[in-house]
Amino acid sequence: MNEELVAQTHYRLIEALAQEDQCHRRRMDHLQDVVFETDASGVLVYLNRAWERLLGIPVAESLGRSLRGFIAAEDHPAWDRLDGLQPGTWQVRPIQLRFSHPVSKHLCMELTASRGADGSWVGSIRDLTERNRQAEAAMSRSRVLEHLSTGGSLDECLHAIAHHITVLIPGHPVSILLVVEREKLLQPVASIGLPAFFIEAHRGLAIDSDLGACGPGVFLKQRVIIEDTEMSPNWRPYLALGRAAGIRACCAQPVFSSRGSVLATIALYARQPEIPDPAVLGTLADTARLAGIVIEHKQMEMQLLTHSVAVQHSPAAVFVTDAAGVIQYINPRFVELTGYTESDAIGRTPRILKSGMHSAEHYRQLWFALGRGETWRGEFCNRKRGGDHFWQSFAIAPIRDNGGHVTGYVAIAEDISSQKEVARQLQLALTREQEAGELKSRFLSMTSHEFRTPMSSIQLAFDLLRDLGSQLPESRRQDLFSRVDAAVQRMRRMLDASLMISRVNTGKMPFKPVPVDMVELVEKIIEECRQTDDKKHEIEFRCDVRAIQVMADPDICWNIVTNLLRNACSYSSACSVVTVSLARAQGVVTLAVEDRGIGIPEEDQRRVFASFERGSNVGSIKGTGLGLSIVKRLVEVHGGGVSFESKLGCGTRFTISLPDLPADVNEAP
Amino acid sequence: MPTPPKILLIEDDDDLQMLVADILILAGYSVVKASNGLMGVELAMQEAPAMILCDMLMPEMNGLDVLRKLRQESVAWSIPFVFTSAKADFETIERARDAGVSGYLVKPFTRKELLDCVRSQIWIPVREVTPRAP
Repeated sequence: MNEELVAQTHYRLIEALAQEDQCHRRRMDHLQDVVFETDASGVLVYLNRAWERLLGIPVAESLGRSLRGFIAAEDHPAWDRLDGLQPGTWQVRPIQLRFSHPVSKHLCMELTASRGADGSWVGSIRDLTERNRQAEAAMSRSRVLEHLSTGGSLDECLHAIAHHITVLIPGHPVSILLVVEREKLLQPVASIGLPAFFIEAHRGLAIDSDLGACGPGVFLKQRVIIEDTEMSPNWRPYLALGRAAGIRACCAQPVFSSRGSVLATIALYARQPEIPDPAVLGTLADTARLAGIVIEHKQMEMQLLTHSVAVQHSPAAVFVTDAAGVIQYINPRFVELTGYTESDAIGRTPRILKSGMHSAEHYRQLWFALGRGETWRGEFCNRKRGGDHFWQSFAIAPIRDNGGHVTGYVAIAEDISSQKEVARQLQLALTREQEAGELKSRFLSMTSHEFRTPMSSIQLAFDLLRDLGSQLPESRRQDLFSRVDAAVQRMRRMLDASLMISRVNTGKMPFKPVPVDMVELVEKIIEECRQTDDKKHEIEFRCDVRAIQVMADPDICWNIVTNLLRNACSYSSACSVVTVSLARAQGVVTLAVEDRGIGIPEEDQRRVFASFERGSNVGSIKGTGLGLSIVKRLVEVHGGGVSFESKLGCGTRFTISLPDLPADVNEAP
Repeated sequence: MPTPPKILLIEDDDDLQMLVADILILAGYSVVKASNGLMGVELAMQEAPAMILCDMLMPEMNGLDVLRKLRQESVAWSIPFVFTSAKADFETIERARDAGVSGYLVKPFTRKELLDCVRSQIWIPVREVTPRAP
C-alpha cells in the first residue's frame, strides 16, 4: 500500500512534471528566438520550434547532431574558443555567429548561452538578418545622402540608390534609367545585377507607350508591372534579351519631380514570374521619391552651376540685391563696366551708380513695376566709379521664394553707351540732313526769286536795245550795256555764294591747312579791296607783329576776310575809315574788321548769319544776303568762331577767332 | 495833247526801277519813282497816279501792305494797281487778288509784256517820245 502510494505519488509527480515540461515546451515553441540545449559533448538535446522556422531544418532531424555542425565553417573558430573554455555555470555575452542555411547561404545569428558545470550548453539564438538588413538599409540610405551632400555626381548618387534598393529588396536586379532629351529617351545610369549587354540594349531607348515596362511607366506616369515576360505582349520585342539576361518579370516605377514630371524610372527585375508584394512596391515607391529628390537636386545644382557660369561670363553686367536693395552679388562684367569692385559694391545699394540724370518719375515707374512683380525694362544713365556717365539698358526683376515673397532683385544691364552715341550721331546727321534739305529747297526758291530781278533788268535792257537801240544815243546804249553787265555780275556772285553755301552745308568744302602767314594774306586782301573799292575807303591795318605763321586753309581765310572787308566797305559811307586788326594770343588768331557804317538794327542782329537775310536799313545797297552766312560757316569749318558788335548808325565790328593750328615743322618754310 | 498819264513805280532795285521807268517814259508816260513801300504810299496819295506798278518783295513795307493801305484810302482806292513780282505761286497771286490787285507781272518780264499790261490798265492814248541823251 505504502509502496503503491509511493509509486502513485511518483507517477503523479512524473506526470505533473511531464505536464509542466509540456507546458514549458509549448511556451518555448512560441518564442521567436531559438532555445537550445546540448549535452556536455555539444550534441543538441533540445530545440524549440523557432529552430525550424529560422534555419529551415526540422527539429527532429537536428536533435542528436552537434550544434557546431550548424554553424558556418568561417565562424567555427569563434565557437571553438567559447566551447574550449572551462565548464562552469556562467553566462556568455551575446556573440554573433553565422549559421548555414540550405537556401540563403548564411544566417546571421546572435547567440546567448550559459554553460553548465558538466559542460552542457543552454542558450538562445536570435535571428539578426532583419536587424542587419535594417542596419544595412540605413547605411545604404545614408550613403545616398552622403553622396548627395558631398557633391557626388548624379551617377554616383543613383548608383547608391540602386544599391539601396538591392539592400531593401534583395535578390532582384535593378536598373535606374534617366529620362533625357526632353522626355524622349531613356538612358540607363545605374544598374545592379544585370549583364552589360542588357543595360546597353536600354541605352537611348525611345519612350513608348507599349514597349517594355520602363517606357510605358514614363509615358503613363504610373507604375507598370510585367508579371511574366514570356506572357506579356509588351515584352515580346525583348523576349530574347530578357531570356539571355535571365529576366522573367519586371516592375517599372516612375520617378517624379516635385512638379509632377517624370525624371527617371526604376526598373526592378525578377528571375521568376512574380507580382511584387505591397511591401516591395511601397519600398520601391519610397526609393523613387528619394531618387526624385536626388535627381531634382542634382539637376538643379547643374542648372545653378550652368547659370552661375553663364552669369560669370555674361557680357551683360549683373547684380543681385536683397529685398532691401542691398547688393549681394555682382558679376565680373559689372566690375569691368562700373569700376566698382566686389568690396566696393557688395553691401551697398545701386544708388552708388546714380547719375542724377533721371527724374523721380523714372524711379517711381521702376518700383511700381517691381512692386507688381513685373520685370522692369528701361534705360538708365549711370555713373561709373570714376565719375564718367554711361548708358545702360536694364532688365530688373524681383526674385520670389516659393511663398511668393520678394527676397531680392536681379538686375541685368547692358552697356548701350556706344549705341546711344551712334543713335545720337545718326540723329545729328539726320537733323543736319533735314536742315540741309530744308535749306536747299529754301535756297532754290530764294535764288530763283533773287535771280528774277536781275534777269528782269537784263530782259528789259535787251528789249530796249533791240526795239529802240537805233534811236538811242550812244551814251544811253552804253548805260544799258553796263546795266546788263552789272546784273550778270550780280547773278554770278549769287550763284557763287549759293554754291559755296551748298558745299559747306553738305560738308564738301575741302579743308586743307597749310602753313600760312596771316599778316601777308590779310595785307594782300586789303590791297585788292583798295583797288576795287570805288568809295575810296581809308582801310587801316593794325598788327603788332610782322608775321603770324599758322596752319590754315588760305582759300577759306581769303573768302572770310574778303567777305567781311567788302561788307564793311559796302555798308559804310565813302571815304570812311575801315580798320582791320590782326593778333595772335593764347593759341588763337583774332581778326577784327570794323567800319563806321550804317550798323545793324538791333531787331535784325539775331538773323545776321542766316541765309538771304539782310538788314532792314540796307536801302538800295546791293547784296545777296549770303555773305555773313558764308563767313560763319567757313569759320566753323576752320574750327573757329565769329562774333560782332554793332550800333545802328555808328558802325559794326566783326571779330573772328581761328585756332592757331600747330604749324607742321617739316612743311614750314 | 493832254498831259501824259502818270505811273507810280515802286521798286527797290535801282537798276530795274531805272529800266522800267525808261521804257515807260519812252512809251509816252510820265513816271514817279519810289524805292520803298512807305514812300510809295505817300506818293500815291500826293500824286494821284493813273496807275501803280509795285514790286511785291521790298524791305520795310512789302507790296501787299502797300496795296492794302491804298485800297483803304478814298483818294487811291480805285487806282489800277499792278504787282511786279518774282513770286508766281498760286497762293501769292490769290492773296494779291484778295487784296484787290488789278494785274500781275511776273519777273522777268519783257518790254512788250510791260507795255501791254500798262495799256490794259490805262486806256488814255499816249504818244511815244523820241529818245534823247540823258
